[in-house]
Amino acid sequence: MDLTARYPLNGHIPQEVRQPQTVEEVAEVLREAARSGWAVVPWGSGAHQGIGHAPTRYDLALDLTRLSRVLRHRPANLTIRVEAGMRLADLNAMLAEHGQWLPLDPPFGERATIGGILATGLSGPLRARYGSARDLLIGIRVALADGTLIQGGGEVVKNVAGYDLPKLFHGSLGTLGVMVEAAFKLWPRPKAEATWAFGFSRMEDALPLTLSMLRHPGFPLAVEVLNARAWEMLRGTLELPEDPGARVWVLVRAGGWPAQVERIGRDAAAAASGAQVKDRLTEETASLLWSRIPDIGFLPSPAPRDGMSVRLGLLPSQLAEGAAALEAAEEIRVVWRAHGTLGLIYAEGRGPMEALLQWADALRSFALAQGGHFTILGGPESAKRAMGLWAPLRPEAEVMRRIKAQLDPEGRLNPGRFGWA
Amino acid sequence: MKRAHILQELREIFGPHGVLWEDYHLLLYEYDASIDKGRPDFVVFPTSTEQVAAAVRIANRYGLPIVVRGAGTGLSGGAVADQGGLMIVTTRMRRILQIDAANLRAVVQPGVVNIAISQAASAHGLYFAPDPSSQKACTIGGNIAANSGGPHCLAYGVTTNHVLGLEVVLPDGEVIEVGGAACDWPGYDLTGLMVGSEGTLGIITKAILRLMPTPEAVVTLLAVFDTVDQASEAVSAIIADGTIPGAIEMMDHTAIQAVESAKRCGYPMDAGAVLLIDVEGLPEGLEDLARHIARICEHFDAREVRIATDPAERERLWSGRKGAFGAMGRLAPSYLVQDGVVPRDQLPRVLRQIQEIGQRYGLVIANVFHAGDGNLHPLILFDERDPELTRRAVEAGAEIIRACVEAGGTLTGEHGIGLEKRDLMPLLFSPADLETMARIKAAFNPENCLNPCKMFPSTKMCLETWSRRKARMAEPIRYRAATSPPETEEELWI
Repeated sequence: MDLTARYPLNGHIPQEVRQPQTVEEVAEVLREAARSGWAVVPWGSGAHQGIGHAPTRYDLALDLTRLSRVLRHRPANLTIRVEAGMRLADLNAMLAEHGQWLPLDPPFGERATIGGILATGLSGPLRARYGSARDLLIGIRVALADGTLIQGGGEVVKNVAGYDLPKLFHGSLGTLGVMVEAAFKLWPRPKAEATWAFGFSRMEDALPLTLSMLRHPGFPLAVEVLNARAWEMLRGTLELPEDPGARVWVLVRAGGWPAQVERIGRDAAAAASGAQVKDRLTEETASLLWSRIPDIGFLPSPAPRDGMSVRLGLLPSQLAEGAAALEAAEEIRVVWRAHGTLGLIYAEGRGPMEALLQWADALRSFALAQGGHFTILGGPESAKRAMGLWAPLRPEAEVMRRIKAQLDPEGRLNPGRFGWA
Repeated sequence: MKRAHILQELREIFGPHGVLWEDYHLLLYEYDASIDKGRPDFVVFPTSTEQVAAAVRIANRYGLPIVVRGAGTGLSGGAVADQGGLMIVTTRMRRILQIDAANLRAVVQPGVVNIAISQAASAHGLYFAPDPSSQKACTIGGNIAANSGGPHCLAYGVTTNHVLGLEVVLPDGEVIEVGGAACDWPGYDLTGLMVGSEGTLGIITKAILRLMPTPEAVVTLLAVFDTVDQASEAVSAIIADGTIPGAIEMMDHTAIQAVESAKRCGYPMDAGAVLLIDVEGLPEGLEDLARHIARICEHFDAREVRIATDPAERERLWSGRKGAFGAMGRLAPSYLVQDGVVPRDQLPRVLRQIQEIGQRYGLVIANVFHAGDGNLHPLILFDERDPELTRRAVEAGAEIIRACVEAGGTLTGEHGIGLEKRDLMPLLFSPADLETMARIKAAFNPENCLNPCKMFPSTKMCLETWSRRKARMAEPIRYRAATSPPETEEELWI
């Protein structure tokens, strides 16, 4: 099979593919692209290539998965520097031997590479305790559009020298430069862990639990909310509690010293007075469950023609209104989950495209009315074009445009991903 | 004449009590907590975002550089008007606009004093985690500009981890919002870029902050060691062991001497080093955890470990650390504090180097610092009235920073680059790195009117550039040293 066919995007394949093995080779490829005027799409595992618009030009697929080395791990410092093509799963398998982890659990985390996770800025349930990659990233090395290698941050946990380039590149969808190395602060793995599941007949009844976990000084590892359809999908393969009357499930994952874990569980149960079911999951079930949850509410790439996935950014106290808005359209089958303490909702809708667009449009209006934001994460490019990728589009977008023009003046890196950059 | 026009315009906006222009007033605003000085031409005290924007437009009309200042507690000269111009002081924008206790958010104006946020949130069992040592005086606007740290940032992160959104006045007077009360606003993370940008990208007029639940219990340990090496080894071992305490602070022998002679907090006078460790959170298992950490300290030959649970005793143990900088007055008239960071396992080696540098320059250096983060604060003792001593102190400071960078660390962990360390930037960053930062600056601040000459290496020309600037304002800024004639290369760093 032709190599270029392995990198399709929105029905297009590139003319060229490069698979550099070193950072210097990445720089050389980008110099070649600059000379040839090629539009470049950086690739990791491809798990998240569906995020953002399809690029408006696509000449070169720059596959970074051969950059997969650990450059420096200082176990006594809880810091690590790795190449961007390394898979998160491989990194965490290595760190487990030291009792450490990079506590990130984004969608498709089994496949996702560090570079892809950073470029998309996606996070998972563990964010409740550890923050997103934004909070853990302490340094980056980037190849700019012309092949110039630059670095920002460093390998120490506190650093205010110069602009915070790691923050700028995190979530920039590969439009400003190609991240080739990343340094992180690590966390020790919790000494003990436990997960509880609570079933509620309404999201309103679950709010006292999620909001009390938000202000719990024991800092639960994750507080994830799922709708009944998501729960039933999981229950198909896992031994999970059942309650036909439950419309919403809340999972509380606690970690730390054993006494702290028990205390969080007690407090969660007390706050979940409206729950029909309160169950502590077995370790095995919990472990499988947490490995599957991050994919829920996300469409894989390429997206099916009858599906759309969206993200709503709300306040944690607005989740009940959010749940109602998500499930208001009867002809759309909606699977959603939310970071209960963060107010972020990930939802996947299936149905006829016209109805999906109406559903998404209503969600967008809802999010804006709440003072929040709305983003299409997955779906056909035609749907993204029809709706616009995100809302609200504020005057700050002009500053973003200027940053893009400064760092990639020829507009060759993932052109059009944001619609304007 | 021009001066009179500017003054008239400013007084129209700010009234007779909102503008300072006479020398004896301006004197008060010519310095911050660093050793650099520079007198502004005018100082204004806005009370609203609109007034800030109006001041910016006036400054632009007359080609005045703009410097923003909060409480002036900064340690790197970031708020010093070394090019003169208009100083915008935020201390009259000091309202806490909202505490959203359900969602753990606070919305504040930039002039709010750091500790006032925690005080306002305390009724709800919440607090604002970043706690710079100057927290009773410093403003949140300054904290955000500097991305300030503090002892308890070990467990909870620095300012940037607690800022969700900002209202910003751009250098052309336009007001934009970045981020917001919800998480993950789409597009580039301009909030993350603004935090720590030292007033060079925009003026912060409002901030949305993340609050945290107050710990239910805190245990403080004081571990006493004969040598700094033993204490540093213990720090690395505690971090590597897998429990991250709320704070780990170290003081060396010189610092202990100063602190104990200023106020008695119970540190043994003959100790080589003490560690002050807070473990906090839920009471369940907390004392076990404290004893576990005590055993690690003992393993590294701590000769004594005290565990304090009672608030008064904890307060007494911390009072020495909190008053340490002030206590240096017992040893010398002036001190210069450095702010390098090293990987934690390099602490013993770099601390030895610092002592050696002190000996070589004939200066006493005390160390009081955030050991858990590897963030050093060597206090170089000298007398500001003696130019020779001052020169030696500054040189010794630069040499310490060099040692930190060589050990894999950085120039500054929480105090910022400002004027003080701008010429040390090339130690850490290549010309390409700096050029990238200059381009980012140009996206916000193309005329370089906001905090000019800060953060970027000055080389020869900041002043010169400013005097020539007006004539060239219409020209596009050039960045490429390779394709530009040599005389424009300097533009890059301003």
